[in-house]
Amino acid sequence: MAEDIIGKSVERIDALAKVTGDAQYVHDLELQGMLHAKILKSPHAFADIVSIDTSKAEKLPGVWAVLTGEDVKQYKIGLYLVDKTILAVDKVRYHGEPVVAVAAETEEIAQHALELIEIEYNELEPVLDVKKATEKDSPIVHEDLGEYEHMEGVFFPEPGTNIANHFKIRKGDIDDGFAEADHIIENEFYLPQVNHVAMETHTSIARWKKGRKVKIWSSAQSPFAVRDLLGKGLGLPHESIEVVVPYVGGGFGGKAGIHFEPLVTLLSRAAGGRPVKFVASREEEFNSVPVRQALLSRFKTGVNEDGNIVAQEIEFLWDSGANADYGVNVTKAAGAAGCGPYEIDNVKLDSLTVYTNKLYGTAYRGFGHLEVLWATERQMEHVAKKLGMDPYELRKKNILRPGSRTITGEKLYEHSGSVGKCLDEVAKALNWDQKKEEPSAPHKARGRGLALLHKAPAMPTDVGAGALLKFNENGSVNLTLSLVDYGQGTYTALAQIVADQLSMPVDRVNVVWENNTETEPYDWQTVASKGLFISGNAVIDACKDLKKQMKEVAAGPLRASVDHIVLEDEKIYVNHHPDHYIEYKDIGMGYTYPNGNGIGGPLMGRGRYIAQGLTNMDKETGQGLPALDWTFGAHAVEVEIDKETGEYEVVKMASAFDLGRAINKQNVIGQIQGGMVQGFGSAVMEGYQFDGEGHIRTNTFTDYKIPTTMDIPKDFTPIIVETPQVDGPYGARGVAEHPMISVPPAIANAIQDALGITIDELPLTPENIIEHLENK
Amino acid sequence: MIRDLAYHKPDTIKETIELLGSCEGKTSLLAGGTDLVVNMRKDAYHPDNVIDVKGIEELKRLEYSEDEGLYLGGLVTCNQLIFSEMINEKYPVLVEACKKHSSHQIRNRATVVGNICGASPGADLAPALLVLGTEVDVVGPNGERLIPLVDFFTGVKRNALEEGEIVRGLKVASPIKGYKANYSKKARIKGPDLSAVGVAGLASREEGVVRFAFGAVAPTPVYLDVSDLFAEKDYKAAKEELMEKVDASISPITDVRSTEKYRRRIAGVYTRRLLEELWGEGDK
Amino acid sequence: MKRTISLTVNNRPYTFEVDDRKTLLEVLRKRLSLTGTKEGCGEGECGACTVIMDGQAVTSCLILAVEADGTDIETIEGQSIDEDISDVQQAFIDEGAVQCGFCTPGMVMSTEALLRRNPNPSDEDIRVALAGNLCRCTGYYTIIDAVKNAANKRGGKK
Ligand SMILES: Cc1cc2nc3c(=O)[nH]c(=O)nc-3n(C[C@H](O)[C@H](O)[C@H](O)COP(=O)(O)OP(=O)(O)OC[C@H]3O[C@@H](n4cnc5c(N)ncnc54)[C@H](O)[C@@H]3O)c2cc1C
Ligand code: FES
Ligand code: FES
Repeated sequence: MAEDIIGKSVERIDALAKVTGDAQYVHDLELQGMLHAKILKSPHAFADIVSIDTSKAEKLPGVWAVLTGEDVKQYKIGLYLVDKTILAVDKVRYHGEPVVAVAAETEEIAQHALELIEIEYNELEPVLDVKKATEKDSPIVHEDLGEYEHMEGVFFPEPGTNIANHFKIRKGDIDDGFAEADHIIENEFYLPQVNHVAMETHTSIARWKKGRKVKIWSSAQSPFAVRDLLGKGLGLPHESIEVVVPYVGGGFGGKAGIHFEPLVTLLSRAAGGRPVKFVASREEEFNSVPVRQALLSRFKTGVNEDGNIVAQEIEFLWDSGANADYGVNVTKAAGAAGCGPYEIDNVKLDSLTVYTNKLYGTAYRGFGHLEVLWATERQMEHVAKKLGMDPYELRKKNILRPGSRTITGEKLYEHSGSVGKCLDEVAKALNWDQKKEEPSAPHKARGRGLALLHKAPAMPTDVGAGALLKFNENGSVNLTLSLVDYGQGTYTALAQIVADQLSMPVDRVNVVWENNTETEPYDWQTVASKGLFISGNAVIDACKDLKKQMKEVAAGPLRASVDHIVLEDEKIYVNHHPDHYIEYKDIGMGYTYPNGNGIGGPLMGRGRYIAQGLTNMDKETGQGLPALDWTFGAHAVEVEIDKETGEYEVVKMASAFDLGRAINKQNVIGQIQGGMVQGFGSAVMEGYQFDGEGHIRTNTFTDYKIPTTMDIPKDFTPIIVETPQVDGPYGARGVAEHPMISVPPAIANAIQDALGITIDELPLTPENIIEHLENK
Repeated sequence: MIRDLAYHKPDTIKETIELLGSCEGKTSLLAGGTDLVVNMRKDAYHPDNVIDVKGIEELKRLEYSEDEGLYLGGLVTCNQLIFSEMINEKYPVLVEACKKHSSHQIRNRATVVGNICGASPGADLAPALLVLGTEVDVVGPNGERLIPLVDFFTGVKRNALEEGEIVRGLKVASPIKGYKANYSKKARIKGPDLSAVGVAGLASREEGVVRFAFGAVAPTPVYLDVSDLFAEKDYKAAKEELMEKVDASISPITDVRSTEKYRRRIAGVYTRRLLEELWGEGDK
Repeated sequence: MKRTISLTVNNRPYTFEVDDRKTLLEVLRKRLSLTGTKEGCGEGECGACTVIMDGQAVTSCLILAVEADGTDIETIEGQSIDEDISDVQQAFIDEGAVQCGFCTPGMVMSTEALLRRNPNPSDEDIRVALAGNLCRCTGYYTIIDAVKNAANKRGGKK
């Protein structure tokens, strides 16, 4: 190709459908004969269900199915630790937990039916504090923890307690480390639960079919995970389940795994096979779907006078809420990054997943890293303050570099990416070495802050994905794969890769948008920023396979050896005779000789890729090789704060990420901006609030606020650093989650610089600032 | 989900009052609906009858005269005020308050009268209208009456209207000579949000007038006319007493939006800043 | 209760019977199959349901369908004919202002209404006009750029 397509800001392939309203989401789908589901939710955080009377609801004309926990108690759903039922069974464990589900002709009838249901509860004392939950006399949220199925050897529940998993890291000798240290600094950090706030709420439709089959349409990130977990949970063979994912209105981890799919499946079955649709209301999205976990961290850091950190002891108490299925994995994955992007020789880390009676935890963009790095990057600031050292210098001194070993013992190389470069880039963007600007008024103060980050995909060691390329009659190609593009732009990047590999215009590459487990090759899940890495490699593999076939078929009519055949600009020729060529369109479905003889047949490129060389981590020491690739990053922030009201403005911000290679620059910038603003939300305004009984107080947009156009930092500079990843497609590594990580500490560090206060709990509200100023 | 209801759309106030008298069950007037429809959707409130007043021409009045001041009819929306040259010139504080109310789309529907009738403690238009001096023009089965806005708010989401009454509009006093006024709002975010504290101030050195009003810091908006204070005392003493008075007059609570303590602080800081901005430093 | 209403949607006249309690959003999506207009909250907070009603951007989730009797409604579907898309839509594509796309129809409608009343919006004007449209994906920067781009294309002098 004359023009290099890799790195170009090619127009998003889904843009036209989206700007015209043509793109259909599950929200928009209606099936013939479709029923509407509604759920009755727990008004209590923790209670025994004494009785449920659904008789009146069942008699209501237009009601087709009513399900309670009693009807579905034999089914358990889960991926890592199978602790979830489809509806509450015997007990409710959080405010908002689905208790009864109804399917009816109309939403109005379903709603009316819910009102006819009588439930008697016996309230129990809820477990709301993660610290207290780990104490001996705490009420137990899951008495049957010992019986729950889980990934053996990977997760370690402690039956009889509220601890669903205990992950450990032991590196070096912690006692020696502290003995060597000149200073020991101890602190506690906290951040509350937050919601993903995808603009499309969770929605699923199921149609139960004869022969114990089911077809599902869902706003899901991972069609194959839905199929697998539904199959395992309901005892259905994989081949009897078809999962379709059309356009998805945002996910951010909240639509990973499985959600309402089993419920609509069982409702459809109970309704004799009529399709059933459930659309979570915004309130349900806040009340009844999983969230990012809260985290209480304790840090003890040993540092030498010169700033060299020699020992770190860490305890993470993850408030995983009422279920820990996904939470256990966050605890492990983020635990493995628990010291931040620094090289520390002696580490003792304990990461505990703790049950409470709150909304339960799941993946959220960054998979535990925003939470963990909130603590590490605040702790660095405490250390710098103690030593009287420039926070930039302290970081520079301790960062991971080529030759360093991570806390799980992995050695880093030159090509692993550079956190140092990211740090320098953002420091430069904010003129870190120069004096701060004066505040704009006497009652205001200015401050600057830095924070670093790193994250590797959190995934099983053997994650793989496939890709399939098929020619169309006109010589264009269709790419199918089951990675879901719910807004990240991966499909556009993959189209660019195909275009480059096959030497054809990008608009001749059709990435089949709708995902379907029946027709597409397998992918584990669309999570962890591994999409472009794994699927990109699979797509390259598919291109290679297709090219090989093209050359083999063309070798006949061109009368040449495959070694000398070139593919360029949709033409196939022998390298020294470019004018004597076969067009792709004349070979895609097989080549036909002038006399009518056909050869080759329809060409199909098959590609696959699996994570290579990753290992499980040791139970006692956490040592192992869990990281596919590390993406490093840094933020620098300047704030101006009103000292009387605590109100503040992020006046300037820069963020840099070493993403290996930007395949599509515009989309990468989009990821950085969008991610940064989500991190900004976590930093400045977001967080669930509960009353003393565990009732959610923030379950509408009226009281759960996210950033708007008027809130975002006005002056934001995204910076791309490119240290190619050896095994990444074109050197690329993931960058979807990273932009939001460490935004909160960058801002808190700037506030500390401005006012001299140390705020160690989120969100950083003006009130929080005033509170600290008053107690200073 | 909204429950079954009967929708009516009368053309006149008379018809409306008749409907209010004759409809069975709970009946609500509907203006912009940005308060009512939200409550209906959340099932917080479900009227059997909804009377849409948007067909009543009389309620669309928006007029100003030197002598009478401003007449702001029941259907005038927040955005109408924001984009009205007359309001920008004569009552810029109303523009400020409207700009701090909700989002552009909501302001296209939300009426000023609906904001007042909803009687939410944090209603953003209340403080500005209070400092300007406003009367509520009410029509009912027994005739018409004018209720001073201060007396209109009787409790959280409760107003002084009686069965069958409708607000025709608001009468806002003619601008005081040489006055300046402004509205400060503290919310959780900079984008659209309900107010955690709202403070309106008005001052005229020429006429010796100093007034403040507060939203979201008590069950109903709080109004303070401290003109006498500034007439009698020197600036410093008056200012100090004003600050004490503010703290004594408000009774904020702690809720999802803010804490009592912080609300008190903000009410104080905003009052002081508004005083400095509108009155300036020093005695009259 | 039910009543018959008449309204114009994307220049096409409609007359039909509707339940008094149905919102305009429900009627557009379910009755008229205009699913480009999205529901993100149903409480007036997210702007995904923004349509233009008699020239003004409004949240259709807070309007009863019966209130729309006699009005002129424009939805996202009316902003393009086949491939012929509006300059606002083109600007959203060009600036990369689309990610998951769920907020996009509402954003486009708010932008359209803004540019009609103010062909030369400042940065601040844009932020204010779009503050009632939530987007969780883009962080808004590219959307603000798209509005400026569309304003320039439409001949607003800068
Ligand atoms: C997303 C969103 C954001 C909001 N943000 C704010 C905000 O920032 N600040 C704020 O103050 N409010 C806010 N509100 C609340 C609401 O928008 C305002 O109070 C608005 O001004 C109400 O006006 P309306 O015309 O929509 O009232 P409606 O909903 O039509 O009516 C409100 C009440 O007043 C009664 N009523 C209406 N007209 C009359 C009349 N002529 N006579 C007697 N009674 C009458 C109605 O019966 C009803 O009880 C917000 C609402 C939403 C949905
Ligand atoms: S759906 Fe109407 S504003 Fe959210
Ligand atoms: S693009 Fe996803 S919400 Fe805006």
